[in-house]
Parts: sequence; structure tokens; C-alpha cells
Amino acid sequence: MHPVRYHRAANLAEALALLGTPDARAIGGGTDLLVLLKEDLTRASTLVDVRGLALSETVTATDDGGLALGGALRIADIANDAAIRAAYPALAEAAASVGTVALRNMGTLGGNLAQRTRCWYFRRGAPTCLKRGGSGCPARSGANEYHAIVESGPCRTVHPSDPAVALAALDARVELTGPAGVRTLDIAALFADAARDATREAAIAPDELITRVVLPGARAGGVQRYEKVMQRGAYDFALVSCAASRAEDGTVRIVLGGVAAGPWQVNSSVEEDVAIGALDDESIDALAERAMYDVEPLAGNAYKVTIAQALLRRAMRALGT
Amino acid sequence: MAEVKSGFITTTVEVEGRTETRVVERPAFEPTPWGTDAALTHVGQSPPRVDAPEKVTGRARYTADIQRPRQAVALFLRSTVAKGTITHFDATAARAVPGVLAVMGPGDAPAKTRLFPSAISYAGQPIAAVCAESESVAWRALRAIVVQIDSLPFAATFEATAAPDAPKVRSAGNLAEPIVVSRGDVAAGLAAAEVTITREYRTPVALHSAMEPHGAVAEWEGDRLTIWESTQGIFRTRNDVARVLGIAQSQVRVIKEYMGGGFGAKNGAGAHTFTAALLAKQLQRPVRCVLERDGEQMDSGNRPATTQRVTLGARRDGTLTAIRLDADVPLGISGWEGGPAQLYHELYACANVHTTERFAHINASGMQAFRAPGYAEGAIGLEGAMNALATTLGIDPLELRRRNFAERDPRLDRAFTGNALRQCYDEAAERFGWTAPRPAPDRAHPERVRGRGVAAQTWPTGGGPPAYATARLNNDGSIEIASGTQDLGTGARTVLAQIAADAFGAALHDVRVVLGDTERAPYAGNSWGSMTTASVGPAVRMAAEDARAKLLDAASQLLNVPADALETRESRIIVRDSDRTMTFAEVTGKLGNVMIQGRGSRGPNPSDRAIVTVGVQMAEVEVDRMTGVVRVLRIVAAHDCGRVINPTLARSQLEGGILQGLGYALFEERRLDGATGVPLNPSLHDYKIPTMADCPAIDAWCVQNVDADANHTGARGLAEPPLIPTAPAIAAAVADALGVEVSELPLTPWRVLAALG
Ligand SMILES: Cc1cc2nc3c(=O)[nH]c(=O)nc-3n(C[C@H](O)[C@H](O)[C@H](O)COP(=O)(O)OP(=O)(O)OC[C@H]3O[C@@H](n4cnc5c(N)ncnc54)[C@H](O)[C@@H]3O)c2cc1C
Repeated sequence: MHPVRYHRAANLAEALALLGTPDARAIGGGTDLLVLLKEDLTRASTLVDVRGLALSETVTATDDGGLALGGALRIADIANDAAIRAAYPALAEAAASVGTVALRNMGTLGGNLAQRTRCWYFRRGAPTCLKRGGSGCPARSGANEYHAIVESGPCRTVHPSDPAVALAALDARVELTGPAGVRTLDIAALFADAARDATREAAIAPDELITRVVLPGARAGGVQRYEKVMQRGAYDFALVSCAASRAEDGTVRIVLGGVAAGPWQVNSSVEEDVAIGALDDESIDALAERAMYDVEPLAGNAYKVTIAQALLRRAMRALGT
Repeated sequence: MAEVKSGFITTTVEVEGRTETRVVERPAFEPTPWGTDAALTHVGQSPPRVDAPEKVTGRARYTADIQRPRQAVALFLRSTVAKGTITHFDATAARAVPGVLAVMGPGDAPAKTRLFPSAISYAGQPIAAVCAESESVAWRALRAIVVQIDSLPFAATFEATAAPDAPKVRSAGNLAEPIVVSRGDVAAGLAAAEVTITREYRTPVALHSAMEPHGAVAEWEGDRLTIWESTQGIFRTRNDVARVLGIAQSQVRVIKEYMGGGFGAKNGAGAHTFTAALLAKQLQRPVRCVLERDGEQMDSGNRPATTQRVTLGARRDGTLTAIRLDADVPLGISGWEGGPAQLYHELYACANVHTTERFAHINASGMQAFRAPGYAEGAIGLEGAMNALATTLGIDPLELRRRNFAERDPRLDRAFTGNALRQCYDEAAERFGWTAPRPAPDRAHPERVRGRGVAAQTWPTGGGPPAYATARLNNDGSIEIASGTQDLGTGARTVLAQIAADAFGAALHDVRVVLGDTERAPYAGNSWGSMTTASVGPAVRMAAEDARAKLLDAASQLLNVPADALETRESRIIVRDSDRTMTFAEVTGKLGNVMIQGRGSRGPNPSDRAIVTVGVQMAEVEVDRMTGVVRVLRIVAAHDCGRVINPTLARSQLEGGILQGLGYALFEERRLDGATGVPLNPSLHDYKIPTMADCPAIDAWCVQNVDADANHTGARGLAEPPLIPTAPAIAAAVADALGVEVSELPLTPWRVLAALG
């Protein structure tokens, strides 16, 4: 690893100031960033630790009955927090399914959302890879079992985060703080350019921090589930995952992970049909087909369509019958 | 004990399925075999590993932990091109990095080391090494090296390398002469068959993935070289180094105290050893060269892929009339012909067997022996086809195996020293509940289907000469047993201590076993081929008995009774039929500095007998038909390895083999990029070995047995056998659950779903 300077900022203002210096990067648990640095997949000369800053590791109730999660909240804390488990069990389950105990204890929410793709062409430094300075995607004609079945840009990356999928099904908003102040965006917007952006998967400027992730009270409770299909019993990224919620007001969100460059919400017409409810097996099958009608799997990953439909059927059965 | 005529004789030893002829010295005496009724105090018990405290407290030092004064670090730069020629190599900037001590690149190492050639023949091949004050300096310097490689067309699959216009992978040709082995008349056997089935199976390239990577620390003192090496063969490593560096074997000392696994990939000196030795010489300071994880996963050996086309012929009652195999094995750039065929000749009684193996070289890192090389692959084809045959015939697959049990070694038509496979079948069936009715399907989850499967195993485990041990009794009564073997983590140190304690009549805590040092211990062979217990155990026993005889001789003088009136028990000498005793320490205390020493060696195996470890495993799995995910619920394993020296350690071997087999069945597969030949998953996250969450309930044991005909300890080897049947048993269980076979390993969701159509 190239030598780096490590800073533990005293407060948010200092952290932001340090992040404004050249080649500075935020570091949470370092579970992804340190690996990227060691493998020469990214550069940094200054690391600014975002843990320990005010508000960054807490879960607080919001006025609308929702919760605001600090950007440096540890994944393990999300999985175990009583308030999160009560109001947003899909998120708690998604967090509990992340990696291993050690990774959950070290990894933070902000770092999880800002982690880089696990694509093996990217990670092994394939020179033709868009995200390595090339202009294409070697996975398209290469080994692509783990890649996207949805076309969303030149690159066929899938976003590795489990929490992001649950957050998308809970209409979470992400609060970013930078030199110009705070901006808030839908979690989906965070990943909108993942398949096009050569440098990152989440739309966070180098001098910005994820300071909070806000869960609306409207989606607390109701029916929620998170299901993750992985090869091994643990310590695997999702082949396909599915987060689903039916809020108290009856609205439904169904989001798939492992199929696209970011969390992939099924067509709202499908969600509306599920919301109406009283679905029988036949209509569930038809809706699962419809939800996936325009996906474009590659040579090695059509199986993900089968798994995605299975997860959709299970989610619809839980939410819509 | 019987006196035997000493002198040299010719004998044969089976290693990893190959038979080697050796001229060896007969031991001066052969201890009386420990039969079923032998009165043994320590052998057969499960004391904890003698080195457990060192291991759990972190005091145990592995090769990667060795820190010598002024030690420097060497790292490799590896090729990202599968085939080509280095046209430009410039390390000027690398040498300029502060803290860099040396760079070795193309043309810099003596030809005999074969280090850093300018011809590149696989991705991951070392191009250069940088030696620096620290790892981080070496890391930075590696990135400052400028290399240009003219890349050439490559062939990284069997199909590509066998094509008529294939690029030349090796100058001697891409394909070796096929190996054809035949007995009887397979065409006649197929003609006589009432049922024939034909199947094709594919197995992946699997990586050893030992916890401790390959590595060496080298240090010169004048013209004498000491190497700490993570190796399965200290003497072989010593001899490799002496030969390649052109120095005497007596100038090289190889030490390996503790080891984090080998599994067949650490059988001699490697590029890292020569690199460390050369740089240490050049710099006149100790040099450590330990592979990084990606180097370990890219270029430290592998189990080669196979394609096996199998035809079985049988009568309606299940009697096999013919077995035919055509196999393709792409070995990598180097490797030996450890193919799948031999199991087809050895597991079942069948008069007509014909196997053809085509080995090819490809532009990928070379193969190395991997726990039961060839047999693990062969079991996928043979046992897969046996299960398919059972289904076709409507015969229970276990019953089909019973009907084709081989009473004699069918390959060489010789008797076994012992073979309790039928007992294994019975005990496993009983504990698994093989004939018990199946549980009702889970109504709440109709997509979750269960299945069960069975597979059997044989493997040559006789061990053999040469192997030597010495015993010495210090004048405080403590005992040192020395043998130049090594403990790879298997528990050899403990097992040998138990054998020595019983042979000596000593307390276990008085026995210290010194292994893993070519200067402190006499020769023993590599710890491969499941040989250590069966080869070294008898030598240790003999050394201890030799020393004990001398001790009794001395004691008879002191006690004034004939030596044959004396017994030893728990480090005491007891005068039979009296209450007179002396401790060992009392005797040796009186002797002062007179040294009681014993010398032991391994005698030849019985001629014309097959010495094998056999076993059977049964698997129960649950498959989600909607997602294709397979979970193994339980494995029942019964094996026969003759006498079990330490049941807990034996069970550890079984469990380890089963988990490695489970990984082979479900997850493990080295992936190369088709376009570039570059390994895509050389990490422990992307190369998926099982996690604790994947561990099934394992019920594994060795059947009660003693094989006093194999050698005088009654024990055969056990290290490799348990891996062999696990994957085919799991594959059979998946086929049973789905009603359709998945013929390519590993059984990933995409393969399961594809098989379901
Ligand atoms: C082997 C392995 C398995 C894994 N398995 C899973 C899995 O199954 N599911 C899953 O979801 N994840 C998985 N992960 C990802 C893991 O959860 C992330 O590595 C972790 O959450 C990242 O958190 P961190 O705090 O360590 O991030 P760091 O490594 O510290 O940082 C990662 C990135 O985020 C940036 N960053 C950190 N904090 C902030 C912030 N507050 N604002 C803006 N940017 C920030 C950093 O600058 C860096 O670019 C796995 C990771 C590994 C290494």
C-alpha cells in the first residue's frame, strides 16, 4: 500500500475541511477502502475517519415517526438495534446478512453504500473495464454469472450492498453533507449512474459525506421482508435479493438486488397490483413474469431471472394474499 | 520381537496411486505386530494434541511467523498475460525506491532455478522479485517495474489445446501420449451386459487454499544455508535446494516446525524457496518470501479439471460386466499424470475394465497433487455412473455396491491385507438410517426437496520404507524421539508420541517428538499419499523398543534380575511377580552420561498384498428447486484404516476431508477469463471454500479394526480417503432430490436450475 496520512477529525466541519484537500478520502471501517488501496484499485494520500463525529453513529427518531440513521452507524448496530428491528425489520435483516460478524462489526452504513463493485474484472484490474480506465465491459462476453441482468449503462456491474436494497424498499433518503451544505436524495438516485460512472457506483462527491440516512415514518411497520439468495450459507454477496414492504397505508414496494447496477424496483404497476391484494397463484406467476419482462440477461446469468421470479413470488405471497 | 537377516532388499511402495520400486535396508529386527489383543495404554486413546497449548496460545511459530535479525522481504511480480515474450524489462525506478535492496528479473537467476524466464506461459507466472526492507516498500517497488510483453495466442482449455491449429503450449507438444489401461475384454463385457449406461461428467479446477500460504525464509551463514519452509517434505526440499544451487546436501538445513496445511501442494522447493535463497546469498541477510493470498490462489498448484465419459455394463442383478472410461485432463503448464482412471480399476470387482486418459498442457498454472489426486475426480465419474446405473436397474445404490464388492484387489489380482468395506456399508447404513422411510415432504415449502446419496472409496495407504527414527533416553528419564517427517497439522506429532510411549512403556508426557528438521532427525519421506502414520509409525515403534531393550539390559544389572523378567509401564521398570520397581529416571540417573539410544527403520510391506483404506459416505441434502441452492444437511462416513491410533484426530481427518469434499461439490472452482486466461477469483472471498454455516451434521468414524498384516503397528493411512466419496455422495443426493443428475461440478444454482430445465 502507498503510505497514507490518517486523520481522526474532531467534528464534522473539520472532517469536511480535510476531505477538501487533494487525494483525501473518508474512511469508515476500512473494510472495503483498505482492500482497494492494497490492491491498487484506488488512490488516496489522506484518510479521514468519519467515525466518532457527532450524530454519526446514532439512531434517532424523526418527527414523522421514522428514524434517522447516522452515516457511520455500524452494520452490526443496524442489525441489532431494537428500534430498527421493530419499525424496519427488512433493513435489520438485510444488515444481518452482510458478510461476516467481523465485517458487520467494522463496516459502516456510509461505507456500505459507497463500497465499490465486486465485479471480478474490476477487482482483477482488467484493462478494458470501463471502471479501470477502459471503455467497455469484459463481463458482457466473459464470465458473467454474477453480473447484472438489467441493462443500465455500458457496464454490467451489480451493486453489492444488501442494506441499499432494503433501504430502497423503505423509501429511504440519503443526506449528503459537503462544503456547500446538505443535500438529500432518494436512495435510488444515489445509484442511478453506477453503470456509467467510471470512478464510483454511488453519486457522492469526493468532498461529501453521507451524514444520515432517513427512513420515513410512513413505511415503518406493516409487512416487510428481506430475502437473500447466496451460494454459501454465509459470507457471500447476494446472487439475487429481494426487499419488500407493504406499508400501513397499503402501498407496496418491491426491490431486487443483484440484478442491476443499483437496487432495482419493479414496475410500479406490479406494485399496485400487489397492493390491491387477493392474489392467487396464477396471478402471482403472471405478475412475476411481468416484473421481469424487459430484463436482458447475458450468456451466463439467465438463471438470475429464475431466482428473481421465485423471490418475487414469495414476496408477493407475503404481501398480496 | 524377531531377529531378521539384515541387508538390502527390493520392495515396492505405492504413493498417490503410483507404484515405486525401491531398494531399502531391512530393519535389524521386526517388532511383533500389535494385534487385536495387544495391551496398549496410549495407542487407541485420544489425548489432546501434544502441541495444542502452543497452537492455541499463539506460541507456535509457522514459517510465515519466522523473524530473523535483519530479515528482508521478497515479493513477486506476476504476469497478467497468459502467453508471450518479455521484450522489455526496466527496474530502474523500482531500484530507486528507498528501502529496495535488490531486484531479480529475466535472466538474473541461474538457469537451473528456472526462475523468471522471458517466455511467459501462463497468467500468474512470476516475472521478477523485489527484495526490500519491508513488505510495503517491496509492494511499491513492484509497481515501479516497467515490463512489456508481446502477447501470443494461448490455449487455456483442453478443447483449445487439442485443436489442430492450437498454439504451442510446450515445445514437446500440447498432448501427451494417451494412457490406456485395460483388463479383460471391455467389448465382450458390454456385449454381455443386459443394461448399459453412458454418462459424461465434468469436474472443475480446485485450489488447495491452505490457510498458510507457500513460503520460505532463507539465511546463510558462510556457505551453509538454513531454510524455514512450509513444506510436506523437509528432505525433498533440502535435496531440491542443494541440487539447484549446486551445493552439498550437508550444507542445507530445512526446518518446518508448525504448518497450516499442505494438501499436496507443498512437496518440494518452489520459486519462492529459490528466490529467498538467492537473494539471501546476494544480500548476505535473511530473506523471507511468503506468497500473498492471490499468488497462492493463482500459482501454487491445483487439482486439474476433468471430463469423464463413462460407460457401465451390468446384468439385471447389478453385476458389473464392463467399465469404460474416456477422460480428458488439462494439466496446466506442468504436472504429472494423476488422472481419474485408477479408481475405476480398483473399487469394484469387474472383469472388463478399459480406461483411456488424455493429458494435455494448457497455458495455466501447473497442477500439483491435491488430497487424493485423481481418485477424487474419478469418484465423480465412477460413483456418479454407479448411482445412475442403480436408478436404471431399480436397485438400491448401496446394494449395487455390495453386489460388486471386490474381495481381492481387482487391478493387480492380489489379496488385501484387510478390507472392511462391507462393515463400513453396514455401520453407515445403520447410523444414517439408509433403509428408514423418508420423512414426508415439507408441505409449507414444497419447493424444498430432500435427497440422499451414497458413494464409496478406496485409496492405497500402505506407506512404506524408507523412514527412520531415533529414540534417546536422557538421564532425567525424559525421552526424545526424532524423525525427519513433518506434522502438517494432521496431528502426526501426537500420534507418533502415542506410539513411542506404548513401545517404550513410558508416560506420554515424558515423550517429546522432534520432527521437521533435517539436521536433528534422520530421514523420513514426504507427508503425502496418506503415508506418515503407516511409514513413520513403525520406525518410531522400533526405535523406542530398541532403546527400551537397552534400558532393560541396564536395569537388569542394577536390579540383578534377568532382563526378560522386567516390564515397563508409564516410565517405570517393574520386576514381574514382585513389588520391586524403578523409574526410568532412577535407572538413567545411576547410569550418568551413558546414553540409551534406539534406532528404528521402516521395513518393507508384505509382497503381493494390496494395502488400502476404504470407506463409504452418505449424504442428505435439501435443494430449493426455485433458486437452485443446495444445502447439505448431514454426512455419515465410515472408513476402515486398520488400527486407529487416536480416534479424535482420526475424526478430525474425516471431518476435514468431508468439508473439503463439500466445497468441491458445491462451491469451489478456479475461474479463468476466456479472453485473457487471467484467473478471476484468486481470493478467499471469490474462490468459495465452505464456511461454518455450510457445515452439515457430520457423523464420522473408523470401524474397529487392526491390520497387523500391513505393518506391525496395525495402522494404515487415513489422510486422503475421506475427501474422495463426499462430493459424489452429495451429487447423488442432489440427483435423488431433483430426479435429474447435474453432471458438472460444482453444483451451483445456475447448474442446478439448468438441469431442471
Ligand atoms: C469479504 C467481504 C464481504 C462482504 N459481504 C457483503 C455483503 O454480503 N453484503 C453487503 O452489503 N456488503 C458486504 N460487504 C461490504 C461491506 O459491508 C462493506 O465493506 C462495508 O459496509 C463498508 O463499510 P466501511 O465502513 O468499512 O467502509 P470503508 O471501507 O471505510 O469505505 C468504503 C468507501 O466508502 C466511503 N465512505 C465511508 N464512509 C463514508 C461516509 N460516511 N460518507 C461517504 N463516503 C463514505 C469511503 O471513502 C470508501 O470509498 C463485504 C465486504 C467484504 C470485504
